[in-house]
Amino acid sequence: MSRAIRTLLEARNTALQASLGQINAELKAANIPVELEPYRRQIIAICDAFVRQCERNRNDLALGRDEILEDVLSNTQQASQGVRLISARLVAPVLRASSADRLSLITISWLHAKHSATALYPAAFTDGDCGVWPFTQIPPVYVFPSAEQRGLLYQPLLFHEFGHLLYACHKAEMDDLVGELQKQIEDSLTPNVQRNDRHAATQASERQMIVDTWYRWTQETLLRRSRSDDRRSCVSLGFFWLPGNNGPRRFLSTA
Amino acid sequence: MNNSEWLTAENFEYAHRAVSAINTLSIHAKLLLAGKQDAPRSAEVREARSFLREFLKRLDEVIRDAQQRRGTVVGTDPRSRELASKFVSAKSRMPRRSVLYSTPIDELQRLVDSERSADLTRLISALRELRVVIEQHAHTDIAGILGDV
Repeated sequence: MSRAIRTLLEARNTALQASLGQINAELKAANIPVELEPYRRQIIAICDAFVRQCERNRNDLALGRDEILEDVLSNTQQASQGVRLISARLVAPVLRASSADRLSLITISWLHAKHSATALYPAAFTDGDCGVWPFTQIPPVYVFPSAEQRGLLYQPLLFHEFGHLLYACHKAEMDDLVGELQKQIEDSLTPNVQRNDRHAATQASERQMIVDTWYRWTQETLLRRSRSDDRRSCVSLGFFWLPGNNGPRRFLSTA
Repeated sequence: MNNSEWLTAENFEYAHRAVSAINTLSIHAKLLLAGKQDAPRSAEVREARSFLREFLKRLDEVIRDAQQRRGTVVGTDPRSRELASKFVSAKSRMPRRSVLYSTPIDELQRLVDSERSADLTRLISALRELRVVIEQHAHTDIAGILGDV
């Protein structure tokens, strides 16, 4: 049984290496604007890292130790996901590139260069509804509708998406700030007298749902006030009206 | 793009790092137990230990916060909070022979750094269980980023 698994894993890792070689060749052959070159270099480096991971998996299999098969299987699944991520998401900015990308690439490069936490991230975007995949260990990728990429009118939307990346880079501090807001919302929702029965658990679950929703809303709404000086640009001012308060309360520290 | 895809991407990356760290440390521990040297992996093992210590610390903080606040967790993203909830829920249902759920988190952090044979055996069991929890939890994020293939 273990021999069959070993053979399958060996074949899978060899196939992944072949896919990565093919992707690598396509990336190198693509004709891209100069602003996209740093991104291409990093994606090629990621492909190389996964090739090394597959090689390591094959070396581990060659040790002939059955007790590590489950770990090599998991590492092979990790490599498969990595190759799929590259193929499905990360190569698109390079393979679809055109000279019309330069405007958005320059905007993103400028945003990244203005912050120490993002200065080393290369600029890249692909087609789709506005958004960003704010990866921090691999290059983040922005998503922008095709027609809107070519004009100045929609470029400010990139500032909002950049805020998500800044949030990810400063996640611990930002979560603390959002936590302060969530605490106040939760306190205002918690009844003064609490029951000690199954209804209390239901109420706690509903409060959790509300504070979780505010976690998402806080990023989406407050990022609209983005500025470009430091991490506080993701927070800006937050004024909210809560039941029981006498007026809008300021929950988050200001930029 | 789904308007919470940024959250999915963050969690996908985090889970990927966590599982990689678990695998690296698990292989290292098993080779040590078998009396094999694992020098080529030493830098990765150091990084894996550091990541897992931080991962367990964060998990512990979320769980403690939930206990202090009567079950409601604030100041952490919803997916990490869900992972902590699954951990607590599994802990209350798991048989006592489970190393992961019967060992306090600060003790798990100590096991991560230990190279004593008795500790390595417990560490391997705990890592195996932790990997299952993370992989099951991360399935939603993987499907969100890569689709259901």
